[in-house]
Amino acid sequence: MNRLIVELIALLLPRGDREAVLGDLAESSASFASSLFAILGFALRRQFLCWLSWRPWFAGIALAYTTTWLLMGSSVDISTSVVSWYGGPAAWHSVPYGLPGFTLAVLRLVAAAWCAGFAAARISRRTLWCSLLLLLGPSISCYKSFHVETHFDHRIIQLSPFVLFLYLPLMIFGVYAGLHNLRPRPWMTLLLIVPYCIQLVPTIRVQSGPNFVLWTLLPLWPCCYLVWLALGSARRSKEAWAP
Amino acid sequence: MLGEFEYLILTVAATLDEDAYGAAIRAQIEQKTGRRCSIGALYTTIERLETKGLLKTWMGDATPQRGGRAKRMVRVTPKGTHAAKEFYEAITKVSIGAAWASHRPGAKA
Repeated sequence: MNRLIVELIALLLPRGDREAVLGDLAESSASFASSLFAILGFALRRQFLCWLSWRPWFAGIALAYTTTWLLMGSSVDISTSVVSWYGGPAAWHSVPYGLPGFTLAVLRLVAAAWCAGFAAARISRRTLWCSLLLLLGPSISCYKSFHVETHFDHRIIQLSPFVLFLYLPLMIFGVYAGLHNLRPRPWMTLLLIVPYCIQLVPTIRVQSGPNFVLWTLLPLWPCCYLVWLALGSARRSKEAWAP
Repeated sequence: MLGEFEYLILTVAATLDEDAYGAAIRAQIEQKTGRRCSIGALYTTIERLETKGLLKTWMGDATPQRGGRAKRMVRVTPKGTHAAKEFYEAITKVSIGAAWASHRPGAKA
């Protein structure tokens, strides 16, 4: 039982370190208590050292204060459209009119969620748990007070608060790609972010006046980061193939 | 310049040579300095030294006495040897004339 607890606690460590530390503890016949203290001490020390760098602060705070609001807004937009259309055949006549906007909103959500997950995993892998927690924080806090209704055919349809987390599965794909150092090709990156930028820039220009450049760049930073990585990787592979 | 604990790890790893791995380094440091060496301090310092290019680590073989777990083997790189030598020379030079230095002029051997 004690060994099981120690091995469970050791899951806090990355695989390579876990193997070495558990082996060292077994070799030195360490007691249950000292094994626990050793593993917890190591895990805490590692986390503490990570936070001495700017990366986790940037990944967590920049995502939480910029991208989350955009993700939640897009999730609610998409859900509202889907729920309206789900109202019945009478609602379907409006589908062709709403479809372009809906498609763009879906593309925007895909790009924003994927890029946010990718950036969080790439910038600070070891503090990913904290970046994701900060990113999900606003959605969790809005969950209780969430109340959005859509009117259709004299009926009021209330959206489930779970729609606030619609971006989450898409973001998990981004996190996976970031953790496995996968990078989309430059043309795929452009395909991913161009519709997003095209929609976002005029929206913010209308809403924020002369400060629109700043307000556009803020939520766009994960996309800019992705482009920067993709272009860098393309340049390196071009140099590698050069005679 | 190296830190004191970094120098200890480099020196012990160089002394142990082929047998340098986490538990052995820790045991040697504790035995020679009489100070407790935590696993966390040891591995985070090893990682830092590896990032600086002063050490190279890799996963070794698993043994039954370790519960079938692999060792994290350590080898000092030429850059690490140079850094440790620099540290040693600096400490030796600075210590000349100090009351506790055994090789100060007139001191007993």
